Amino acid sequence: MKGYADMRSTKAARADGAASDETRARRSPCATVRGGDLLFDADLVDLPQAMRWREWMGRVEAAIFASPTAVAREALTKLVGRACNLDDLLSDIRDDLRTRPYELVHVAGGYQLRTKARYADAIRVLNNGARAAGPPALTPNESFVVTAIAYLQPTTRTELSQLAGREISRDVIGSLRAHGLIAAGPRVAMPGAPYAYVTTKRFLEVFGLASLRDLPDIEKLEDAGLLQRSASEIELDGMFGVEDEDAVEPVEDVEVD
Amino acid sequence: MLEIDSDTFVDARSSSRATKNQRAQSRSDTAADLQKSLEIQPLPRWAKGAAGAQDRRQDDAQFLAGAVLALLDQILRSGADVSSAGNRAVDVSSAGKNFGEGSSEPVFVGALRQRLALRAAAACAAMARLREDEGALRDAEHLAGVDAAPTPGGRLHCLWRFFATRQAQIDARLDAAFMRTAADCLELPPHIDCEALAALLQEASTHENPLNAAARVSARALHILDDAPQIDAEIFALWLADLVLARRLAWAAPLPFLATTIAHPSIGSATGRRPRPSDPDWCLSVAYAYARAAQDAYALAGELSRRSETLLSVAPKLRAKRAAPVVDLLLSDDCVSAARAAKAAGLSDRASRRLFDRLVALGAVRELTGRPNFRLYGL
Repeated sequence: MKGYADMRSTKAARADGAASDETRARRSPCATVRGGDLLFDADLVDLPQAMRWREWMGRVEAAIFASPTAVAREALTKLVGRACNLDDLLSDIRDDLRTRPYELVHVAGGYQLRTKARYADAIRVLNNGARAAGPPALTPNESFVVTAIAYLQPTTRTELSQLAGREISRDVIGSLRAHGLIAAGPRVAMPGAPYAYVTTKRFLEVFGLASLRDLPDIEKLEDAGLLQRSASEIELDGMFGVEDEDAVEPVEDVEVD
Repeated sequence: MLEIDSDTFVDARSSSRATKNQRAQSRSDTAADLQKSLEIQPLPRWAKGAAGAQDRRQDDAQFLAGAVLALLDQILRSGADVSSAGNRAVDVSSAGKNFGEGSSEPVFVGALRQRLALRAAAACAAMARLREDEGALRDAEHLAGVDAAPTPGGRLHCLWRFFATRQAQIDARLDAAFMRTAADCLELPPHIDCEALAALLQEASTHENPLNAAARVSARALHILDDAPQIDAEIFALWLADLVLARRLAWAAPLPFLATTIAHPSIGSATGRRPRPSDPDWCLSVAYAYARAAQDAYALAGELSRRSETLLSVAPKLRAKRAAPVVDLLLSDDCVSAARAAKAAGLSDRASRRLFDRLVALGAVRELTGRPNFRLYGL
């Protein structure tokens, strides 16, 4: 009987793999639904309760493992029966993985398996193109800039330079854009029409945030008055002729861009 | 202007059929195109509520909200309705011929809706602790190129501007796909139950009053939106409340109300925190917020109706060939950039700038940003 169950489960796992491959290959929902109808048994009514639960856990974890991107929750609901509480299932999987060097995380857009952050160095030592968990290796300057953009967005390079008290070079912005962490938003209505930068979905994914509201210490910074543009500051800028510099700089910006 | 005044004067004084016929004959060529709009009077004092009232009471709040909503309702139905008898009607003779045709909403309703949307978005951005204010939101919406990544505030603005699209018209189907589109504006997680949200909207029952229905739906929606980040869920709940209210009042499309005032200090309870849909006295806060929001919207409608009358009265004086689509655009949006007007009307860039300069010189539109360049024009 046990042998039968095992065989059945491997078969199911294979079917599962096929289904997830199909999902990956063609994004058309119609194809996956048809696949689900024909050869995929999500409900598993003939298995006993405990075994069915294990099987569902296996399927969900396998699907997340095999997927190149984060898996959305509604995709996961297709893998399990209607009677299944997906939240309980996911927390069981998390418990299972507690001792492993990787974990199940909820990022923008769905669920993903990630190596734990403390193994990042070990993975980078090999330098074989494996993607470590956590942010890509950013220089301190780059991580300062991406942090500032996250809090102050949409913001221009001029404004970032003012915050830093030194020139933020275009190379920093360029490398962050190459990492896909920031994107060029609307152009600001200033002379030269410089780009205002915003963070992307990938930024949230990489740093494990569900939304921008999860940025740490937002209230502290607000109380310190760092997130408002104060009127007095703007006037002071005008008085010290800072604005004139601003007017010149973005023009260069446009030539380069 | 003088002529118009004397006309209404005669109209008010004499009800004799002969005079009316004479007048009708004298302008028989334009009679078919006459636009009559309500002259919007200031609110009566009793509808503004007592300023110093400290105790918050459900019936007071609902009375005030109901009074102003009724007045607004009248405005929103005043568009093409020529037989609005009993009101002091003012002819906007020589008015644009195509405006308001086929709908009962007044000509300026687009501008009203989008300007309220801007206010709502700015209020929500403040709630979500974003740095963008009204000016920044306006710039992001109207000056951004097509390929620009949306800013966090821009996403909120997009949600509120959604009310003005065809999909949001009340006679359109408000189903799960519609909810999904709206949720995508806010980038809510993909797994929230849009079916349930749509069902919630449909079932808003008819025996409870519209304000309570709006409050109840927004509170219940919060449970469905459990997985979304909290502030996004709250904003979406406010959005749903406006949708429910408009549905119950049978308006052609919703106006953004609740979000514009819910965070106002006068609405909050004694503790001073912003009311949230999970609060026990949410119903009460909603009623107060709607009363205040409707008052603001009423004042704005009054202003916009005067401005749109001016715009329509100068419209025949415009010598640019394709001025009509531009006037149309101005009446239907919060503000318009010269480039967008040029594209919409098929004018050259320079011609559209000259047209706007002339409109400003005639006092028909305002430049809203106060900048010498990157200008945005609106009513």
